[in-house]
Amino acid sequence: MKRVMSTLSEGPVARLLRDKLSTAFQPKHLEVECESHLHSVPKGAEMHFRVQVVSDAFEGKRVIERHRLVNTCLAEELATTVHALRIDAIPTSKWDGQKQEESPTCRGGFGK
Amino acid sequence: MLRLATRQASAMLRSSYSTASGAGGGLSDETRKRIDGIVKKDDVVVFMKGTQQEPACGFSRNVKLVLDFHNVKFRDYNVLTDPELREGVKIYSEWPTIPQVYVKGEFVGGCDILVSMHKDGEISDFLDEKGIPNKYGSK
Repeated sequence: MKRVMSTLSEGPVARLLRDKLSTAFQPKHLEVECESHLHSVPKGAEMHFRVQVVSDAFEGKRVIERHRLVNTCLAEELATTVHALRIDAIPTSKWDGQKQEESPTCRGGFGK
Repeated sequence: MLRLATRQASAMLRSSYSTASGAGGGLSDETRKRIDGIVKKDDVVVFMKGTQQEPACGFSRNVKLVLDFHNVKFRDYNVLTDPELREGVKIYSEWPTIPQVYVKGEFVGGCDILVSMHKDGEISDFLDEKGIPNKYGSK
């Protein structure tokens, strides 16, 4: 139910990330969630995200290669508005409904 | 379709990193040499926010905690006090975020990757392979 609620109140950056990831990876499962409310940034900021992508495109690839594919897909956003990105990139064959990790606690980050 | 999307994204990535560096051409030779020197000087290097004594970011702190857990000594570089390094490593590593971990001069990953290697138990084998003394390795 939480997921449905965050989709309904999803901001424009989250929607953009979702669209790009869907197009690039044709995922079997996709979660995109803004986590900026967990960090010391203004309310409503869309700067920190977690993405969980389950896709055939990740089969046979080392974890760093999977992450690089996601980084490349979202390169423009990462060079501009998105400041932190937590990635869980799972090959379809390894997917059994596992949840992405909780975010570590913000330590202030110098306000950025 | 994925390859096309990836190629287009790679081109965008390269051009957006050039813009971010502000130098109109990517990494300066001087900065590249500097980072080269840094990642080769110590076996394990972490570019992080804050220091290993006082991490200023939860993701950077998690990397420190994983390395501490495995008794891996590392050299930290605080990007918050070094803007040239902060932007430079993103271009050098072709990796958009901080923290960044290097082992024997090779980029390994950021927080997600270190944590997942730790949880899968992969990290001990990896460190053994690289000849880095670590607590749960078999050497």
